[in-house]
Amino acid sequence: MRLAPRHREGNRRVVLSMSSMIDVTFLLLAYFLLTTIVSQREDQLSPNLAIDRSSAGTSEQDLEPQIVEVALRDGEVVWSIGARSFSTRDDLLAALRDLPKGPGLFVRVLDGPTVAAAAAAIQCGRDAGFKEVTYVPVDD
Amino acid sequence: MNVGVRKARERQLPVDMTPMIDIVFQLLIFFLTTAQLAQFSRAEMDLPTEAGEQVEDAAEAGLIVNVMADGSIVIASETLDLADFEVMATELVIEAGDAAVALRPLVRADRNAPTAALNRVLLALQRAGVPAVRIATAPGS
Repeated sequence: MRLAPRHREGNRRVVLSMSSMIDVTFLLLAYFLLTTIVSQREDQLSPNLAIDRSSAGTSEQDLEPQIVEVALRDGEVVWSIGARSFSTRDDLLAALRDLPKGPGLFVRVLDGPTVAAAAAAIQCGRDAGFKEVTYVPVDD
Repeated sequence: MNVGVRKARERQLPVDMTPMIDIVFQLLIFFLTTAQLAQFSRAEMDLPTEAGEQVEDAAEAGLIVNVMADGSIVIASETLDLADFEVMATELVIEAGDAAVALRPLVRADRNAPTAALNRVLLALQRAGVPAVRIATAPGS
């Protein structure tokens, strides 16, 4: 038999000491704020190192891949596609956009330029729409 | 007199906060430790300023190779010569076994480093049988 009115149960108050949890929460907040500011965000480029022969025999593979050569001439970085040379990455990007994308792009970096020039060539290849970009390390 | 109601209001439900605080501190120590380890494997350098690629799945790198501005190879704060690095790369591929085709070591090269150094590192990885790498960039421009 239920004697106590229903509304009395609803008046029960649960008292919790929240101070410890709030202390810890603020510590965590401060820690993540500090580490987020300190650590630098990084992205990545993913060039292949080996030639993908899995789809050999298709019509796309009958075409030769485009080759971008990165070199240093008279102290300046020069990107070359065949006989054409480009001194700015905008020109390189415009030229790459006009090329067929199927056979992929090879980036061949000669000893001399900095890593920044090599990364720029890979980035231009990706921005131009090449799905397969292969880095060809030159053996000195 | 309304004694019954007052007694009901003064009732306190004892909730023990100790286990929760313990777990919170455990989490705090875990994140502090892992953050320190992540910094340990990534040397401080100026990465090439490129937007990079929009990768769908950011898988773990496994091996992080740092190529410093002077061309030296640093892995986990330890400087290696090329011969040692080639041995390490070969062991990495052997240990991976069938999963070697999915290996994508992260190469962090200083933007001012000579490409000869990058070529040597990538050539060693290629000879070991690594099919592709990831080159770290700093999104900035």
